[in-house]
Amino acid sequence: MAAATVEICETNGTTGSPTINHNITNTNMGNVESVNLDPVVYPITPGNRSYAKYQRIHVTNIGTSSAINNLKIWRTGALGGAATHLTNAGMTTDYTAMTSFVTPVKTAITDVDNTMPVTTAPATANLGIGGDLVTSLVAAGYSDYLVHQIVTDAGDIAGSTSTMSYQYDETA
Amino acid sequence: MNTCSVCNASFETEEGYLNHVCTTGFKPIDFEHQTTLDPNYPAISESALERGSKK
Repeated sequence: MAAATVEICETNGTTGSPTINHNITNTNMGNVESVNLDPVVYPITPGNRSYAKYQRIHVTNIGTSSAINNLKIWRTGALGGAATHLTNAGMTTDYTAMTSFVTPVKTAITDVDNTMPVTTAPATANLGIGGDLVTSLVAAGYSDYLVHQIVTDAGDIAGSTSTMSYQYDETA
Repeated sequence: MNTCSVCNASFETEEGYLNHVCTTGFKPIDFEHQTTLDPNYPAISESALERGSKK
């Protein structure tokens, strides 16, 4: 038996000229549209938003497994000040599938308005495959885009460090 | 464009990325590639399989 090989990818750039950055090692949020950014160099200006992140779970090799599904995304750790963490990820009807990349912005994005689950995994899938929450990957391929963004308050003066979790189920 | 965040090599196609031999000594399609980068990866994978088998 050979387990699937899975990585997290982030897409950056513009709608017409995207770059897929494979196998990212962090999801630092800041005031620049870039993968693996330095938040000390590019802090979010208080009262403003970070550039949105467009990330996907990427199965590079399904191995001998038959399916990857039940994708769950959440964060562990508090944010600085009164900041909030918004996403398109959501359970059942809260989910808005984003299957195409668009140029990331640091302004409000339609349907990226769910609060990121915190501390524990959501009860059911909150990131889809092929535009819905019930489809499985049965070969190498990508999930839908996880779009997420930090929204700060004008009074926020410090950032924070937290952990993002990207979970999947694999059927042998 | 496809860029490998591990070795920073860029490829015009995804196939090029998937089949390059990274600084890990393995290709991104190889299970060993991830286990080299993250010692927790086998446990992550086993947990995923365990959750899958319960469904």
